Amino acid sequence: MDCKREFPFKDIFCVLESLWASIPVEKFDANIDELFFDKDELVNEHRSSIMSSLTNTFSSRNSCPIKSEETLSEQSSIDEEDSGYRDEQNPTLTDLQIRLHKSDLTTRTASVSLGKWLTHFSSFDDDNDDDCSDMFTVFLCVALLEQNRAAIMNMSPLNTDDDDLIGSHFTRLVRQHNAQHALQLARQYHRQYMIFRMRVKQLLLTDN
Amino acid sequence: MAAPILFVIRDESLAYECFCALMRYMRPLFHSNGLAMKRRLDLLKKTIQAIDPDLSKKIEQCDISS
Repeated sequence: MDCKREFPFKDIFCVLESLWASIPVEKFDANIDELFFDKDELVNEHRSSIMSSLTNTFSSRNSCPIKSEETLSEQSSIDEEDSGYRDEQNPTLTDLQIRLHKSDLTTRTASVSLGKWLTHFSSFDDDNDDDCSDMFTVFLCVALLEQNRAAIMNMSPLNTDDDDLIGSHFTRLVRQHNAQHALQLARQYHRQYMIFRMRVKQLLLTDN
Repeated sequence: MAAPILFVIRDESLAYECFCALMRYMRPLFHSNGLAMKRRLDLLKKTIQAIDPDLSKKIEQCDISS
């Protein structure tokens, strides 16, 4: 579940920090503020509920506040790439926002793939709120699989001399995955998923 | 898991406390009945199916053949 061995040593801090500190959720929340800034009361209520759940997770997480601060400061001194990575995230954020605004206007031309896979989620979308970070881990795994999609698709089950083809493939790839790319992909999925969920809840609220 | 914490914090007692906090944070996942883990794996399966149906089909094939 934690992809510790999969990434190179220099990237592992970035990955673990994101997973343990629930960074994607935090980033997403900032994003939401911009996105739904001028919307109606319902969204605000909704956001505050999510915010409260977030602060709950954070307070339970930060039982030793010294740690997180120290981690962050040390982190930034050790890992310059990390902050650079966050900076280059910004263009994709704005891209996504633009796309979403477009899809708000029901011109779904640019965001076909965005809507497509999310429609499969509607069947099991009745979960509780605290699985945001859960979903991020799941999306990270999916991102890793997607990175090796071509290799997996090329495996033919016929000429198998090994029991666990995919497993052995991933064992061979230990510490060779591209962490930056995987994280970016996972964040993208996560953001789309969260925005989608907000939408669904918003719709439900307006229906009632 | 403890190694990266120790590497960043460089203080054994502090690192121990952080590790304990992390374990508390992750405890629900490793409950004895494995329910949370099962739920999560299920979620992963569904997610793969939703995002990339072809890939999930392929993975299932490989699972069956092995």
